[in-house]
Amino acid sequence: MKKTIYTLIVISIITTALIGMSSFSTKEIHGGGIAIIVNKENPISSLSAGEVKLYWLRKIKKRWPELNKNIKPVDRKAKCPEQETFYSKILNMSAANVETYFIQKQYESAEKPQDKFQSDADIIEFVSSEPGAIGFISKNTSVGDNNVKIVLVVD
Amino acid sequence: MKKILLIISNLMYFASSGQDTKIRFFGQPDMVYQHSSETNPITNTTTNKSQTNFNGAGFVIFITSQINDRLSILGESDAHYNSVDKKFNFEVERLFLRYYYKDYLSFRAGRMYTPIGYWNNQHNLGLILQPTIFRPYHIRAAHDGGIIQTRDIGFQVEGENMTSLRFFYQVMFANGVGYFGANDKPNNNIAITGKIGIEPIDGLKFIISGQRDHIQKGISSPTGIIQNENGKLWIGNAAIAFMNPEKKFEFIGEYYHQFNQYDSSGTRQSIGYFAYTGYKITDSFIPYLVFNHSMSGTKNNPDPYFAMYSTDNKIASVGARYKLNAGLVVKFEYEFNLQTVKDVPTPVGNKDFSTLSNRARLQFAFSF
Repeated sequence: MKKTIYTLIVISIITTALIGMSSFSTKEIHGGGIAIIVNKENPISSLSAGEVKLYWLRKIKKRWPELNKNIKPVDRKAKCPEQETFYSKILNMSAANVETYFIQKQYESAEKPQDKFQSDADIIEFVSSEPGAIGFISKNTSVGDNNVKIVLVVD
Repeated sequence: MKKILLIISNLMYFASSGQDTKIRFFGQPDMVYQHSSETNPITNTTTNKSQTNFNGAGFVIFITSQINDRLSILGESDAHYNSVDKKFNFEVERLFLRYYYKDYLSFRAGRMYTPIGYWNNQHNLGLILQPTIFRPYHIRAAHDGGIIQTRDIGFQVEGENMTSLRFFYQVMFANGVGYFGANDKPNNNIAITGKIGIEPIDGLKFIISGQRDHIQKGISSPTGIIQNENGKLWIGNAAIAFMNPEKKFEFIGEYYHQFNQYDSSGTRQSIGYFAYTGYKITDSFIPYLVFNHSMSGTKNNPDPYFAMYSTDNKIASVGARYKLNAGLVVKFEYEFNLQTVKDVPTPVGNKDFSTLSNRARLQFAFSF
């Protein structure tokens, strides 16, 4: 009996150590300044960091109150400085916890998880076409004459 | 197996063709060592038994689709190996349509988890989301020893985020125990399950819920016991949970109290409670403790809804989970279980039979 339990404990420790080492080797990315954007149809003109967090996570409201459209959070597909800043300064959550949060919401009540895009240009294009979308881009990226507006800038 | 592959390929096609369709797979292979000591009070002997198993566990296919701004669909199927008929069984765990009208009013129709307690709606087959390897004893699947109906087919009204206390509610009207939604119910009885709660601060939930159902003569209870008479079933639940990914401390505590009122043999009572607590040493590494206690029937008044004799089951577990990322969690758990079956008639009078078992389990829960 003891032998089998020891074997299971040793397997657990080795697995944990291997997994831990692989995560330590991940390259650290330092965040950059970001701008939070919404569609121009959205009557909101500015948001605080706390409000962005509540809307983006669809925590208090599922729909924009005055727009009467679903809130559609927009994210980056891969790890990047903008995402790093958004997760740490706005959400105060790790990347794994953000992902788990949306999987849990989807699992519990069929809620659609966040839409993910490769670049700032893709995010601007999506937010331009979706009245309920809210996303983040680098603060240095110009929104040009697209159908989006900046509601918060975070350094 | 062919059927499963066909369903998977159809789902993949559906996912790729629908703009807002998301498909996700969950798996949770594990290895378990179990040792049990069963004491016979008549012969005063102890029988020891050990088992080691490597389990494939279930493979869960989970799909959601946003049909339009307010309408969504959720489907969840579980393919698992059945050791009795040596085949893969495919089971539809959930399949429902949800219509969102306002935060305070939404509707669901189909097969879903009964809105009772906290854990039952929060953590199920996608074990990567569950803080422990096993569900609490009281709400485990019947084949794992669970004793209440955790899923049903019906219609649900729900709402959330009301007032500054973030009040929420769910009311479900369903077939009830023993019916499978195959036009197999010969009466108009409807099981009603209701839940209300508040979330005054992020992650802290206070919940009260209950269920009223009918016990039908000739129908099997979730533990597989054919009922000998008609009656009514009442379940009350109180739950407190603090599960906030930004906080280090985690807690879930629930209490279940069930009254079964049989038409001629009177009322029986059964209770069950559990407490889970975990502490995040780092964002990824969380050791935890769980204690479960379930009592079906009282010493001289067994509850035939659950078991022929009164049964007392205590389980204490210590474990830890390591979260590599949102796609992989490794969990290790060691469990002590003392089960006592009370007042069993024997040639030398009524006796209590006890089984003490220990179980060590390592699980790899993944999702992609």
